[in-house]
Amino acid sequence: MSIGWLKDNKRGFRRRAFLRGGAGTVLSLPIFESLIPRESRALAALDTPKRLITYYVPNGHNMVSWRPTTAGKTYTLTPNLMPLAAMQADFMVVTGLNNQPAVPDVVGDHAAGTSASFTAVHALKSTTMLKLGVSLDQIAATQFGKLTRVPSIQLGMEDGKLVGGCDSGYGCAYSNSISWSTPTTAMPKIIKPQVAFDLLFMGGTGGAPVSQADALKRKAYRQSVLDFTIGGTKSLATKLGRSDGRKLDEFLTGVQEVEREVNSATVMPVSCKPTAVSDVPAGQWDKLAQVFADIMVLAMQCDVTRVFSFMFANAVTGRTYPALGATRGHHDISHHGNIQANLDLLTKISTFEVQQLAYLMTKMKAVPEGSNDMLYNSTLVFTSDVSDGNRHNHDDMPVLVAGHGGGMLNTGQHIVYPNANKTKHGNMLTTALRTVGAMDLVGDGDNVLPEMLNI
Amino acid sequence: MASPGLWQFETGGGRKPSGIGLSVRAFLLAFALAPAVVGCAGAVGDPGGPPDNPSGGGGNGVGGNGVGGNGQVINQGTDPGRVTLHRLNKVEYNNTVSDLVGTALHPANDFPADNRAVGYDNIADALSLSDVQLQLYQNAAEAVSEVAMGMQRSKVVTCDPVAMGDACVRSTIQAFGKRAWRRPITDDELTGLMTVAGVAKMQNDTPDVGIKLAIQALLLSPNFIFRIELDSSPASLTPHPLTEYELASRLSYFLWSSMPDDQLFAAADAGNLHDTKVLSAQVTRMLQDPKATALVDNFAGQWLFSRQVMDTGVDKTLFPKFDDALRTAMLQETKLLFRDVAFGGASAEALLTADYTYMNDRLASHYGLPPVGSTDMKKATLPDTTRGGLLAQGSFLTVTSHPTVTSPVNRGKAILTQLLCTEVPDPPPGVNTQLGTSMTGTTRREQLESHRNDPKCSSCHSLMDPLGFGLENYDAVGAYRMMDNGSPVDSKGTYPGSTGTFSGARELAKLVAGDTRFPDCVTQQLYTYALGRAPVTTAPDHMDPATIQRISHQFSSGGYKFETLVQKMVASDTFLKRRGEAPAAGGMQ
Repeated sequence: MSIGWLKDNKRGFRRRAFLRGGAGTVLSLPIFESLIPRESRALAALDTPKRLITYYVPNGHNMVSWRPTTAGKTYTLTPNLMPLAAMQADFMVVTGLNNQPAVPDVVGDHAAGTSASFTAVHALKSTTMLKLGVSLDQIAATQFGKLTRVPSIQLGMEDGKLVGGCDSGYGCAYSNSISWSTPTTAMPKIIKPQVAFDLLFMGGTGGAPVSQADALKRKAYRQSVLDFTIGGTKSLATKLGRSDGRKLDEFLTGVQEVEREVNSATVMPVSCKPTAVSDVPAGQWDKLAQVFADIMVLAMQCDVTRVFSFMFANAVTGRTYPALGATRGHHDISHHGNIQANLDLLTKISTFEVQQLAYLMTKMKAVPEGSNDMLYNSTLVFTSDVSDGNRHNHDDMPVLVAGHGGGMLNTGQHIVYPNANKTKHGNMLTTALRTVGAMDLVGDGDNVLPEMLNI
Repeated sequence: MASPGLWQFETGGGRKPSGIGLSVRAFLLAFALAPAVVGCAGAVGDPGGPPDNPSGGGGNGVGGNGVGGNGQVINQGTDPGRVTLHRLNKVEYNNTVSDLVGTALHPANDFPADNRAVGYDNIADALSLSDVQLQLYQNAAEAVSEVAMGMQRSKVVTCDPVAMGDACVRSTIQAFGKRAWRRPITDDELTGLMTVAGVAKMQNDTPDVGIKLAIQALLLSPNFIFRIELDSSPASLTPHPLTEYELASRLSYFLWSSMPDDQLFAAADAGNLHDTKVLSAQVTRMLQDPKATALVDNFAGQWLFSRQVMDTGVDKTLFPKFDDALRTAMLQETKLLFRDVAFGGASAEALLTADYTYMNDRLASHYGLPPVGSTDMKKATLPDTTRGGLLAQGSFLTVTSHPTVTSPVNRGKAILTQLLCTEVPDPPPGVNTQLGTSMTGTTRREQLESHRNDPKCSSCHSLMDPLGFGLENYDAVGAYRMMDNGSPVDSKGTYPGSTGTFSGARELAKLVAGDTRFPDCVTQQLYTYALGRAPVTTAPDHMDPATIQRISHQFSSGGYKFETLVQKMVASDTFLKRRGEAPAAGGMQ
């Protein structure tokens, strides 16, 4: 039982010490409870698992430096995209897509754009009432989330402003979440690596090593607590009206998910050896992104979950990148006014973001799976809330689709959709979903984009 | 000193300095005209744009239409509204488990951030839940139960469960359960909890383990994680009083961000918390309790933006001395001034007009003032007029600045939204908001003045910028300056919408404090926080507008005393009552 957060508790070192490791020390867990349900291991043996990652960066890009000037398979990478040069065959650049649902009611492009980035749904403009749609990753999670111990995980690198509004009359959830499990439920993200690590690899508890007998006892205890909770929740639900009932329903869904996890606990396969997560000093966003990338790759290796979302920062982030020369806030700079110094800074920030994507892709590519590798078996969609931060336009979305989707994605090209065609961003999301085996339409999507697929 | 409301020019109405009906009209207009606000003077954007909350009447959203208009009589209303099932936010969760087991615990530090709405993180409608969070609740329940049955065991268990057996287990669970669920637990619930505890016996564990499991069950229950207020007829719109225990929780989470204490439970047990005198005495007592500093941290910290100062971006190369110690001192300065207002009997106007401040040597040095001779914060009289009041405080000035330079726009906007409750829209897309090469002038003010020559910008910026210019004697980290970029600072201006002129922060602050929107706004801000919901202005029969009007009047005519504000708020029907909700009302649901 972790008591690491106890105030003034000198014995609270255990969990943190494990996670930080010593100088150069790599610690691993002596015994693992958990992780793969038997039925999913059986499935995994038959069929290499597919993974889906949604990767969000805020404030758009300097589209001039972002967009390759040539199209097709022989296109030339821009300097902005050069960090991906070694893997040019493993992703595609897609430009010219129109995310019409991202257009806000009068103002609020960042909130409406962020919430539509992976839903392609138009957000209800309200500060308290949320209404959007289900996001790409969560549609996938309903399809194959049950095959793994954790259906999906939401990660990010910014908690959100502590005061004030977020964006022009839109509730903060629209700016701070890209994962929506229902039209009214924004999935909050984990911003601390050690919390994510514990949830994924330690059954959430950071529990000390236990014997098989103790593990069984713990399971019995948790089940009895959950039985009481679920019974009480259902009983309470009968006494509530509409809005209250909806809140309680979020709770019940979560408790039932916890119950499923408790019951899926089996012994960890020997091949899966999570190692230490290192602590990252504040402000080192590259290091932090890399730790999260390590956690994602590890979770895929252990097949703890197959669905991930990652927010580089929240919408309208005021984050500075002093090491890149960006001492003003990112959002501020993104209103570049066509001033070259601002545009150059945006290119630097964007290149930095692409470097972190490259780190993740490189790690995935280095993990062999069957006759291919992890990246080959995955689909990763990288996009933003707006195209050009100065114009707030949503009709030329900056999109990278990485991984091969198990061979379905026609990678290694720059696909240019003519702006006038208003090709739907939602169709790109629908196509991505198709590559991981789900047939649903995403948001305003009504078809797949055949150009993206190997047919 | 009063000034016409910003929107009076459009609607053609004059405004008396302190007419109550009129002052509240300003409040209503600020909401009712929300669509018209877009574009400020109708010059930008689409004045006929959609309302903020398309769900129309009955929703909890701010904005929309249906109320307001010049000379319209404000309906007293009969609808007290309702607060949606309220999940404990991170602060409330930490405080509650700490009070429950009697030692400081912070399990919620690992929870995902709470979504804020209408400026606060305790708005029930915005506090959602995800699967991951439930997993973290389970971890926290287990960890808290370890503490409760570990080092705090003697406080939790007051009998001998080995000698007395089930009777002791039962009484322990019953007592802990009442405090955890903030109401007595029923016989059926107790039976269920005894079943949970009994599982330990089946595994040959001690009764203590059984109690620990029951505590986990109590803490993982929605009765703990949510503040639950029941309607005997969930679909009935007829108002009804809260139960005694529900009211005790409304009080304790408003004033303490935590669970009720023994005295509140005792009052609820006695069944007289709805008694006006009892209620008032409880409020007085609670405001004197140290736990009421929650109002400083959570209400004022968000209302006055001071919470953000620990986290706001500051350029280290330009301001190498700006460190955490200075941030902390700035935060303390604002907290201590608010404390004087909330608990020290000072007038709320003093938030703006105080002729003293709190400093330690670090902050005094940053302010260019003589040292106070202490590393602790000390109340200090001021040798000149460069400081005094929120608008001249480092926290406010830094949080509303860019990392490298001041932002008169942000500062002006913060005054409008936080202190006058007047919303200003963000710039429309396609507008260059960067002060770049197209701007002329040396000082920040000169650059912005040139920027405002663009009519697309000036309609809104003429409302915000002049307020911010009054604070141009303070740089991006709140240090005092006479020169900006080599030229003298000009901090003179005319208060928007009036003929009142000012020079510098102190004079500007007096005008803001004298604006009749100020008491309305203080009332509205605290009202929102107290109830954990946005005031409803879209439903014609709702009590919110008239209630806020009445409280604001009592507040301003009673010397701007914070306790008056709290007392009147707590005594209002919107705090004491609720109603059910019509099933499946058409529209967006």
